Amino acid sequence: MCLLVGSSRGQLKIQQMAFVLVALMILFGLILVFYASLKTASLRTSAEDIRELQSQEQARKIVGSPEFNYPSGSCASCADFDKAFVLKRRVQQSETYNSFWNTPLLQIKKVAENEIECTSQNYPNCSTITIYNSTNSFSSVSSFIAVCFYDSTIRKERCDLGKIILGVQRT
Amino acid sequence: MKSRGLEVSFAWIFAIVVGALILFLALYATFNFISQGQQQTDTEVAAQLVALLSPVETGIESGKYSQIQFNGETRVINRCSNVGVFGEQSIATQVRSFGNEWGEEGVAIRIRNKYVFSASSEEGTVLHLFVKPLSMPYKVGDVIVATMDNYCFIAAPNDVFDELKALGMPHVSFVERRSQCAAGAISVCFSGTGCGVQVDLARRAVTRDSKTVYYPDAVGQPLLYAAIFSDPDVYECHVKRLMKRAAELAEVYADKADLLQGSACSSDLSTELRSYAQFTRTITSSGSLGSVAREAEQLEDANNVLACRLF
Repeated sequence: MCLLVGSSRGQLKIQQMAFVLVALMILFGLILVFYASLKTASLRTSAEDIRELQSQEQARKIVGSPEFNYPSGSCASCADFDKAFVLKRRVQQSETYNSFWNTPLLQIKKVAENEIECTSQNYPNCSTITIYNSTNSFSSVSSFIAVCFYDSTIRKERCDLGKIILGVQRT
Repeated sequence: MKSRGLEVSFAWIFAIVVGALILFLALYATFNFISQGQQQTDTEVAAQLVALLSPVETGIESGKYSQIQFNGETRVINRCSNVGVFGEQSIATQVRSFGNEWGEEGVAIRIRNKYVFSASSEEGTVLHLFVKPLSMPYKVGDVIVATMDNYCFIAAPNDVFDELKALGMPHVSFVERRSQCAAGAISVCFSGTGCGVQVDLARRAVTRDSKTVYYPDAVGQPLLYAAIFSDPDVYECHVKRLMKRAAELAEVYADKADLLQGSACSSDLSTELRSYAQFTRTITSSGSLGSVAREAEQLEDANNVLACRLF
């Protein structure tokens, strides 16, 4: 009888201990999940910050890249509108420049009242050249630039106030 | 007389076994978590490094020096692939973790529009960046020379001395004899032998790790510096990538020439530009850069006499 009582008390203790251990495991698990979600959120924010920082720098620097720079060589923020238009056609015809700048939107526009997208039919009587425009969601950064091109009506090179707009991918 | 042995109840045995199991699981999870965190940090460092490479690119400047300071000792791994239209550059980092061991390599950040010339693996806390635009005959891209080592230039030509001194690069020293080089610095000989890097100005060749690479132009051009500071394999790969971009740009300029055809700004350079594109696209090694430079010179001469220049 005494032995039976001792054994059932022991079993109860084991059950208590097992219960406490399981509860502890669940508690630690919850803490871990909470910490991991916080860490992931902060990682995502920092990744987006880096991407945005990169895009802003890119917007400033992309005009000076060989695909957009103006021949005079004395203007770091002058984009060649003719070259941009040619590049747009090349992007449409082949996948050569796809993902070269790794941006969902790349647009060069003259600051004008009417926004008209440039096509082979209306060039140069247009204001906007869209080189890439992804259908995915993204935010954009822009920077003021000078847009230069050969104006056949005045038979001279001409520069207008313009903008470069770059897309920043959201995750 | 009864000897009383060590009595351990079942509850104790159960607690010890389960406790050990929990401890093992906790340690395993912590170890995994730390190594994953390390990899995240390495990936972040690489992403930040790539983001910092944009501001160092040149606009209308002829050269630029800047440095990136890391929080701890960092290994920058530079890989290059010339597969595809423009090839690709990837940069990964590793940071020293507990016990002075290198942590796991972070995820590599891939870029197509940059050309970082360096050793395939650089280790240190300060990354020195020297940037010069490459023109052949139009701007092809920025040659970014990156190094964490100290260099000792022996009997360097005046052009090299003047340019690097003016930029105030602290990791490059100029001496007349090899014995004057600081310990640990990589020696660069412009005449004579026995240095880590050997420059042959007459042949326009640079020998490093028993491999010889070639640069196209006279002293002071970006590819000379790129050849001195980078591994020969990295150099050859980036040269091919740069030539591929030169080819695509030649096509863009040829299209621009066609677009302006018929206007007062027209030129007849389109055919020459397309043949230049064909030529540069098929370059297989830096040994052909001399021929490319000659073709580029002819194009430049033709462009300079145009009423409105294409590039």
